Amino acid sequence: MLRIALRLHRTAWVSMSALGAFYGALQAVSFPLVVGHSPLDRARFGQEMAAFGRQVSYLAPLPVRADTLGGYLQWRMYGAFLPVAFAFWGFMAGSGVIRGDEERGVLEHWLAGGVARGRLIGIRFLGFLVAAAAAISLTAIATGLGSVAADEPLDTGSLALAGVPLLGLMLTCFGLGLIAGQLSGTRRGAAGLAGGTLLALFLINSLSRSAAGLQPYRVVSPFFYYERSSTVLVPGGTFNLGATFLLFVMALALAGVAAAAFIRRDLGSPLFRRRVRPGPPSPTPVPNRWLRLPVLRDVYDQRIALTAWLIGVAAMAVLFASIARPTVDLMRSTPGLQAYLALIAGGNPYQAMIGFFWFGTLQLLLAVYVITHVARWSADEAEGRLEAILSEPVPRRRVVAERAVALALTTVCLIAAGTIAAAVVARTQQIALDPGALLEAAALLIPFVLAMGTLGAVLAAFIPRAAVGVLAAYAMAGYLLQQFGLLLKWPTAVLDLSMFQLYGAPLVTGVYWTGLWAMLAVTGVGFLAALVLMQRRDIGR
Amino acid sequence: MTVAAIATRGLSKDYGAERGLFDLDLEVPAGEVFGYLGPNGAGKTTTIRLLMGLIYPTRGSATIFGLDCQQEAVEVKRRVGYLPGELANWGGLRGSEVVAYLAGLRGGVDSKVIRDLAARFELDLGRRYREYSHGNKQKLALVIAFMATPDLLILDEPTSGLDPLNQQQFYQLVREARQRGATTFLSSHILSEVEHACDRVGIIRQGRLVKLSGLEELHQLRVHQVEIEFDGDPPAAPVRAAAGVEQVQVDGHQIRCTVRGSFEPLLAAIANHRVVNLVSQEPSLEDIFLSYYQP
Repeated sequence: MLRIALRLHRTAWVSMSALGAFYGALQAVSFPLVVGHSPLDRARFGQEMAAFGRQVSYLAPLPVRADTLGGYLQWRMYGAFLPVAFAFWGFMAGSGVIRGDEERGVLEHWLAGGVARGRLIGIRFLGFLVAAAAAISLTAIATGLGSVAADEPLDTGSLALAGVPLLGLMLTCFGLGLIAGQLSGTRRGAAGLAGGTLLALFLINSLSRSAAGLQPYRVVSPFFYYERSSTVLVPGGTFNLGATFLLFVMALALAGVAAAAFIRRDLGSPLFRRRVRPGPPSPTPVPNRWLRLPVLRDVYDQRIALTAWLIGVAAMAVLFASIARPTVDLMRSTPGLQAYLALIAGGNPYQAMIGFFWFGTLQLLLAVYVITHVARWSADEAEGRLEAILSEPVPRRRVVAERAVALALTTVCLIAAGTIAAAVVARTQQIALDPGALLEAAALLIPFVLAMGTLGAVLAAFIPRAAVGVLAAYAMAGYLLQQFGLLLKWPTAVLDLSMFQLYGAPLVTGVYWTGLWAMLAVTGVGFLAALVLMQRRDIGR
Repeated sequence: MTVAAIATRGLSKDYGAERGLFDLDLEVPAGEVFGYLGPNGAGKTTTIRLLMGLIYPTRGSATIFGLDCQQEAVEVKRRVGYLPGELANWGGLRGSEVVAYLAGLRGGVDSKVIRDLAARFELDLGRRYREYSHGNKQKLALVIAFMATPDLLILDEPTSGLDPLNQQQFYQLVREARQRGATTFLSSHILSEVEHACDRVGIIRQGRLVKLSGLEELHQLRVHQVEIEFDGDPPAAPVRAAAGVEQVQVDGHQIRCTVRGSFEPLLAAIANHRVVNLVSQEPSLEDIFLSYYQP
C-alpha cells in the first residue's frame, strides 16, 4: 500500500522537486549578480530590500539581513516562495487523496480488499510525508549547490533544519485537504474548500503584520508557526522547536479528524449529506438555451469557476492598484531606491508600478487559468466526455475551435475585470493612467493567453496525460526566465522563449512588436497543429 | 440494390502483440438486429469505435449506409445512436443537462421523445450525474442513444448494470426500433442476451470473426452444464442416448452432462425418474470457445 501511495504522488513529487530545486539554485546563483560584491553595494541592497519588504509584508515576512545570501534566501525563498508553492501542493494532494481515489474508483477496491479506513488515511499520510520530505531535501541540496557555485556556501545543517518546519506546514495543509475531502462530494469541491480556507489562514497571518487588529487571530494560522523559524538566516537565525512541534501536532490532529470523518461517512458521499428531495422522478429535459448554443455551453459548464476567477482577479487588481502609490512614494523617499525607480519606471512611476506588479501578476494568473482549461481538455478525454461529444454529429475541428473561442471569451472577461478594477482604484488613488497604454496592456494579454492555450491544445492532443504538467513546467520556466534572465545576461533569443517575455511591459515600455508577432505566430501554428492532431488521432481511454 | 447498414472490408486495427481487430469482413443489412458476441478483450469495442470513426483503422474500410466511417464521420453520426461501453463521467451536471448538452450538439431532438424514454426507464433527470447509480448511468446512456430515433443503433454492452425489468424495457425499445425500420448492432459477451434480442450473430475471438450465424445455429451453439440428482439409480443409458446430451458422467445418484440446443430430449429421458435436484448453468463464452475450437 505504501508503495502505491508513493507512486500516486510521483508526478507531483517530480514536478515540485524540480521546481524547488530550480528556483533555489537560480536564486542562490543569481544573488551576487544582483547584489554586487562590495560591502557598500550589499549594504545598500539590504536597505532597499528592507524598505521594499515593508511594502509587500502582506505577502512575505519582513526581510532580515537581505544583504547576505542566507538572509535573502530566508526572506524570498523560505519565507515567500516555498511555503506558498509547497502549501499549494499539500492541500491539493490532501484533497485528492481519498476523495480523488474514490473518484477514480480505486478506493472501493482497497476497502473491499480489507484495508481499514483509518489505516488507509495513515498510509496516504505517510506516503505524502515521504514525498514531501524528498522534495524538500532535493530543494535544499540544489540551493546548497547553488550557494557553492555563487562562492557563498550556506551552512548545510541550517538548510536541512529549514526543511523541518516546511515539512510540518505541508503536512498541515495536507491534513486540511484531507478534511475538505470528507466534507465535499467531489475532489474539485474539496480543493476549492481547502484552498479557500488556506488562503484565509495565509491572509490572517500575513495581513496581521501590518494590521494589529488581526494579530490575536494569527495563532490559528499554520503559517504563523512556520515563520517562527528562520534557520537559513546565518547569523541570527533561529529554530523554534515549540512552533515546529505544534505544526506537526496540528497536522496529526487534522489527519485524525479526517480519519474519523472518513470512518463515519458513506462511500460516495460527503460527511454531511443533503436529503434527497421528496417527489416523483423528473423525466423532463431542461429547456436551457445555454446548453444548446455553441461555445456558450462550455462557458455555462464552467460558470461557477469563472465567477470565482472574476471575483479573485478583481480583488487582486484592487489590492495591487491600491498599494501602487504608497510603494512608489516610499521608494522615492528612499535614496537607495530612487535610481532603481528611475530605471524601471521612466516618466510615470505610478503607472509603471501598476504595469509591472499588477499586469505581471495578471499574466501569471492567466497562465494558471489557461492551465486549468488544458486540464479540463485532458480530463474530457480521460473521463469519456470527448468520446460522447464526438459520437454526436460534430466535426472534430469544431471541438478545437469551440474550446479556443470559449477560452478567449472567458479570458476577455477576466482581463476586463482586472483592468477595470485596477483603473477604478488607480483613479481613486489619483494615479493618471494613459488610457491608450492601458488598453494595449489589456489587449496584449489576449494573444498571450491564446498562444499559451494553443500550446496547451497541442499538448492535450499529443500527450493528453502529461499536457498539464508539461505546460505548467513551461509556464514556470518562462516566468523564471523572465525574472532572472536579464540579471544573468542571457541573450534575447533565449529570453524570448518565455511567453511572459514576449508580452513585455506595454504599460511601461509600449508594445513589444517582436513579441506580439511571435505570440500571434505561435497561436496560428499551434491552432493549426491542434486541428490536425485532433483530426488524425484515435479518441478514447 | 439496398445499401447495407454496416459493411466492413478487411477492417483491421493492429495494436501490436496480437491485440486489436484483424480482417473483419461483415455486412449487416438495414433493419436487422445484429448481435456481436465475444469474450472480454476480443475486439468488440475496437470494432465499434472504428465504426464510430473514433479510432482509425490500420487497414481496410468500414461504411455505414454507404458512408465512409472515417471520411464522412459527421454524416454517419447523424444517422447513428451510440452507447459507449465505458460511460463518460459528467460530474456535477444533472441528467437533464447532459441530455440537453448532447441534444444541443446533435440538433433536432424532440424533447417529448426524451421525456418518454426517461419515463419508461423511470430515470430521474433532475439528479446530478455523480449521484446516479451504475444502473441509472446506463439508463441515461440509453436515453441518449435512443433520443434521436436514429436509423442505426450501435450499442456496446447495453444491458450492463440494468435490472431485469429495465432489460425487458430495453429489449422492447430494440423491437420498436426494428419495427420502424432501424438497424441495431449490439455487442455482448452473454450468449442468452443476443439470443433474446438478435436476428443474427457474429462471434469474435482474439480479434477475428470466427462465426456468423442465424438464430437456429445459435441455439446449437448454446451449451448448458447440467447436474441432476436422482432419488435412486440415475438413468445413465437413456441420458447418454438423448439427442444433444454429451460428456455424461455418473457419480452415485448424480449425473453431470452438457446439453447442446434444446432440453426436450434430456427431460424426456429422465421423465420416469424422481429428480431431487437439477442445476443448469450457462458456461461463459470462453468455455464455449474452448469446447468448440480447441482440440
